[in-house]
Amino acid sequence: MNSKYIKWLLFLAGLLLLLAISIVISLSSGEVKISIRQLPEIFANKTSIEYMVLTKIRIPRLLLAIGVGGALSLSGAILQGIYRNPLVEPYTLGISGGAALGVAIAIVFGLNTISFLSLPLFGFAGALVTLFIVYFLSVKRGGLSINSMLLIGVMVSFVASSAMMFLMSITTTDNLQSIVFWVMGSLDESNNLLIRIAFYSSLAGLLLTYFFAQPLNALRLGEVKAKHLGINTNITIKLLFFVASLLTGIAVAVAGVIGFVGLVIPHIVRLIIGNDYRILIAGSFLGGSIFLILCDTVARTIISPNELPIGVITGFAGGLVFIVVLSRSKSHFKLN
Amino acid sequence: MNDLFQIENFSCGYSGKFVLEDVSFQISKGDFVGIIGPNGSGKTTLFKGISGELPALSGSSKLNGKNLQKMGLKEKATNLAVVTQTIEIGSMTVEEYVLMGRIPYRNQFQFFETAEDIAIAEKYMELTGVTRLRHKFMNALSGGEQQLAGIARALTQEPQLLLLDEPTSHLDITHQVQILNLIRRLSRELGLTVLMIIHDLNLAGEYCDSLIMMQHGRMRKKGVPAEVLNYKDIEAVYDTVVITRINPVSGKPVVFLVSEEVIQKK
Repeated sequence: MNSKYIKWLLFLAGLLLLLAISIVISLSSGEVKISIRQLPEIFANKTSIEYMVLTKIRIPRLLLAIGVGGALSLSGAILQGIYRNPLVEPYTLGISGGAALGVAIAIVFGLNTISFLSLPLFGFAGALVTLFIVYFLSVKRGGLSINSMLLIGVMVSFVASSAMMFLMSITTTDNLQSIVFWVMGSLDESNNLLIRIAFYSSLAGLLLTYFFAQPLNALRLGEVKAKHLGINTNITIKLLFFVASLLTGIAVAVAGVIGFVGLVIPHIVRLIIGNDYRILIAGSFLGGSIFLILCDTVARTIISPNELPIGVITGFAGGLVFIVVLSRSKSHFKLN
Repeated sequence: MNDLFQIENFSCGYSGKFVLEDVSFQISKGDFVGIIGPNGSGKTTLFKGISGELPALSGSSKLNGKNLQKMGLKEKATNLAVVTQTIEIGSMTVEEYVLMGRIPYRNQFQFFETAEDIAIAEKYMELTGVTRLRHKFMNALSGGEQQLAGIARALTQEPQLLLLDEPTSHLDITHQVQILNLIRRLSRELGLTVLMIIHDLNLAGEYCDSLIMMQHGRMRKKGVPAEVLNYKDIEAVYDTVVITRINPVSGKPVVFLVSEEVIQKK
């Protein structure tokens, strides 16, 4: 077999092993300490406190970390691919700004008291509205102008954050606190339905993206050259943009704004295994999941019984790891 | 009738902007045709019209009797390959890049190269002499090596018609001649039909079977180099004084430029 495929296989196996390790670490750490050896015993005895802690708190949270981390990182990898720009991440396109604005509106007008679904729904709606604005403003002559799409995204993001700051400045302290808390992001979600939606839809996004592995590879050569290779770049870019936006929208709606995953993880994966999307897609997803599981574990244990916003950990850990990796890698960094 | 490629009353571009108007010509299988003309005469627009980057306004371009405008992108990519002037690609090895030429043959659900894909890529890497560079990154290659890799990738698409956009620009004479010799050989040995934009009139005359001269978005002249490369047409199109002679060894036309100072003295 081709040595390239063997390398990919080993890389995937390594990531799966890391995922398993981080799952065990995450499940065993917290207020109630649970060691690995206890796990079979706990699952046999469904009445113990440990069993309740695992199934009601830690496993749902774990699933959410896998889904949200994977979704954000995958979405970053896709967007960097279609924009051919290393600085693009889900949040550059204004999707998170829109989501945050949606949530701020819901909180300010007291809609969050109606149902537990209000905030996620408003967040998701905010993300989608931004996406449509960015999308339709940048459609030109039947084709998408990639650079204008990026610029419009950045601008929409600014407008949304100004609108949010305005809302924050005229509302009550209580509301202000809710908004700030939401914006900082957290995997503390008690609704099982939302967790399942986030988990399965991110897996669906992963599968869907795999259908576009070859087109994404061709796009590494640029739009025109990809077209010369028989790729319908217009449709490909549009569809991938939607997949990336939905992934981000769902992640943001459920977990708030968790920065850095979408930017840093795909880059680290690129540095390790290269830019071939056939491995990069799965690598980014798994890498994002592992990263978020570990960050969340730290966030909820480091100042226990209190919890740090997970964005604090992702920013610190992601940024530092990335700087170290980047300054140590001999080859200078290239996206394509 | 052995015309592989026919283009008839072809106009393309966006109305209101620069358009290519009413171009007609035929190319037989195995022909090596050069497109010459000053900057802004429509050479690149013609290429974009053929490859489908610019919409056709009227007329048709047919490959093997099939209308290129109506061909699907994938089918087109297996019939027509384009090598552009520059290849902006960073961290991709030559081998990976050449294998990209097999993408049009793959379906959406196929992730891995077949043994056939690899065999074809190896064959053309060998033919273009880039096999020894296969594990190098594209951005580590010289301009000439990049062009060779580009040609290897295009050949891997196994096209009937190869479009080359100034393959020799920015290259020294060693690499210019190396690349044009290669293309000449490919068209002879593989029966590959080649349409090439080229600025250097002497290289165009030396290597091409026939030349198409463009001016103001129209085709001014088509024929064998000895017909097209005459001082009258060249002076009219390029607005430059030239002298043409015959290369004593190859018998092909050669164009000499004369400086302003010398002209004024005469």
